[in-house]
Amino acid sequence: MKLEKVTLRNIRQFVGTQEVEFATDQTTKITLFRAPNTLGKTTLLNAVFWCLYGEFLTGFEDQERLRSAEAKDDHFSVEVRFQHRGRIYVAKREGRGAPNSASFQVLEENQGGTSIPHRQPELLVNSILPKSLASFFFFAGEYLKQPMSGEYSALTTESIRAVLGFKLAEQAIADLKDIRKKRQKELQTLSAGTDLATITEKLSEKETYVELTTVQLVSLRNLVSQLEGQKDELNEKLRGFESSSALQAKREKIEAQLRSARNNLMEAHRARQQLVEQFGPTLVLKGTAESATSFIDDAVTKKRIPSPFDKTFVKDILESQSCVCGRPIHPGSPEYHAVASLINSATDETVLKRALAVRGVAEHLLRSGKDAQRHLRMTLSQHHAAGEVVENLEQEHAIISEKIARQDQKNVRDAEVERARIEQTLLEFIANRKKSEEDLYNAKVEVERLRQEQDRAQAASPQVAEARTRLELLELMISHLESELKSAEEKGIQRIAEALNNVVGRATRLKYAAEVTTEYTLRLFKDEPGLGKVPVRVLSSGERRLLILCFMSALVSVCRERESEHGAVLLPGAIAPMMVDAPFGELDPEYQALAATTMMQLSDQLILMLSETHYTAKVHDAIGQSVGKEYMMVGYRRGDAGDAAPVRITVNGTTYDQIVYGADKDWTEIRSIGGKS
Amino acid sequence: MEIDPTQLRDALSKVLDVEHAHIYGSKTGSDSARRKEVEAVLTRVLDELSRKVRKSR
Repeated sequence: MKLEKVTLRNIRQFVGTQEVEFATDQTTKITLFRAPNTLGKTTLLNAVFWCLYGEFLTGFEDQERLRSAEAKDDHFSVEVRFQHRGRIYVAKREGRGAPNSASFQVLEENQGGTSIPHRQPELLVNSILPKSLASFFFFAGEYLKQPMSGEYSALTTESIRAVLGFKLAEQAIADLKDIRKKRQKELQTLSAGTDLATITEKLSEKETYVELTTVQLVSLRNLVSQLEGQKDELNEKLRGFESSSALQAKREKIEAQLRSARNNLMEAHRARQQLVEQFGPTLVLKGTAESATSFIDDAVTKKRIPSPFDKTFVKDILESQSCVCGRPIHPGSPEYHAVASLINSATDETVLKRALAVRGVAEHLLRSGKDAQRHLRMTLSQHHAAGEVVENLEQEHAIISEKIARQDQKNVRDAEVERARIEQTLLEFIANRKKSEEDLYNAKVEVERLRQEQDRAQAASPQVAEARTRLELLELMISHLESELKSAEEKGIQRIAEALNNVVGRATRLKYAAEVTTEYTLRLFKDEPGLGKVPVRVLSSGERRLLILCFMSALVSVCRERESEHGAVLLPGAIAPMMVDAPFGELDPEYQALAATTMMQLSDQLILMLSETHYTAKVHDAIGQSVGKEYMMVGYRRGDAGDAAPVRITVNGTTYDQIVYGADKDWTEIRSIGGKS
Repeated sequence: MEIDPTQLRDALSKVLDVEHAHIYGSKTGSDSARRKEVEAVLTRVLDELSRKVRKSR
């Protein structure tokens, strides 16, 4: 998609009808608007967005007041002419009342010069640039406030997933899960009064719990990331104050040691638990094993085991009624009774084998017990040592924090109080996160168990069985979609990371490298001599702004790569212009130039709206040659200038007033001032 | 449960068509209207699938 022209009629400052043509050439792809604040840069951006999607971008104020207050009539409209894959379209949204009641149509211009209205204009625009992707192409820098500071900068999960085309499958999964809930209730009613009903009810409760906890966990993770970012900012602030600089540096060092010490403690704790699981039975059975071996050994000592007589041998004598010496032994005779009495103390081979096996096991238990005690002593001592390290570091940390809190400077004390408050909240949130993670794990195990139980308890009723089959099929559909998404997610995140890395490497002075984790967290690294790849924890506000722009540019480049890709469950990407209002914020001129160059290189068409403070010589040097169309906005005002300083710009040696007083109405004119195409 | 993956994908694509139409704006309506529409399609595909499952048993 390339924008060719926009026609505004009675849109806020733009009274009457005004037309703007955009640069479309590949070499001179930039259209530049130069205007001071309040003249209508944001309005122009939102007018184009509203025309295409019937909505406004985040932060656009007084959305109901789109029509110019100075207009002679109540008709207002925005018309956007654009080309897409060799075809020309004109989208027009117009109305007379509220913006949301305006009508919308898209005409396709054919070669004969006639226009045919498209039957489904929304569908057409969405298939060219889906609304879910449009906010990466059309945005106002002022509202780019993503929490992207520090190591755990949370990327907007939603943006990445939108760029990867997940919306279709995600919406389908949400709908199918909703329907599943309904079907589960129906199944419950069908099987009311049976065991199955109870199990199904429990299962449904547990599944709801899993869903809620998953959502809660995502929001907890985001909150933790945000708080970590805020803490990093305060750390940076405290490092900036002379009186707290050294202490803060020391505290950060201790915090790094504490992180590793806490990890060691956790490992030791885990090892202790594993040991208890492995050797617990051995230790519990130690007493029994000792009694068993001593009993068997005692019997051996007393010659009860093995007995001098074998039970089978005694039985043979009694059955044959004849002694081994050949003498007969008649039943009832004293000899017969004497031999028969041997049966009680004679050895039974099976019993003997069992007794010896028991002794073997008991002996093994005793040997393991000795090992267990040795391991346990060692692990307990490691656990104790790790605990002590943590305790000492925590004490040291507390002493430094107290010293910082007692500094003379008020701004240091204030920052420290704020930091302590954030740290406290952070600890609570981290604990909550951990608990939620454990709860979620246990609940998932329970869901699995209940599902198996449900299968077993499934009633013989054909009606229930049929409902159950349908539910299972529905579950298969959901899990098929989820697994497709999961596999696309792994590849997609890798792709975003590569694009981001590419952009970051190109745009930052400091040569950072970026990584995106599977939890949608952005991590930045830099190469430190002698240390290798070191995580970057604190970013300046300029670096943060640049990183956001890099992120947006990376998303746009992935959208472009994915333009012709669409699988069964993924939506395709898009190629579209980047239309950006005041993107630079607090960037210094060098970073402004880098950001402008990056956006230019990654987009097919760039529409930039800048104030004079942002269109610096460096930015001009970086992109000036690629500006195909250049405009300035001129504001006309009633009354006289009073004390207001003149607002002027100089273009190619000619100086223009950007605010003109003494007009018959307040309005803005968009005036062409050049460009190369 | 044994089910031919192609049959499952075909059934899913019918549901995704409805979602697609709503996302791209050829159909409009509230979330609950969309869900009703999805449910109607789903009921049909589940009827068909469960018939096939019964047959294969």
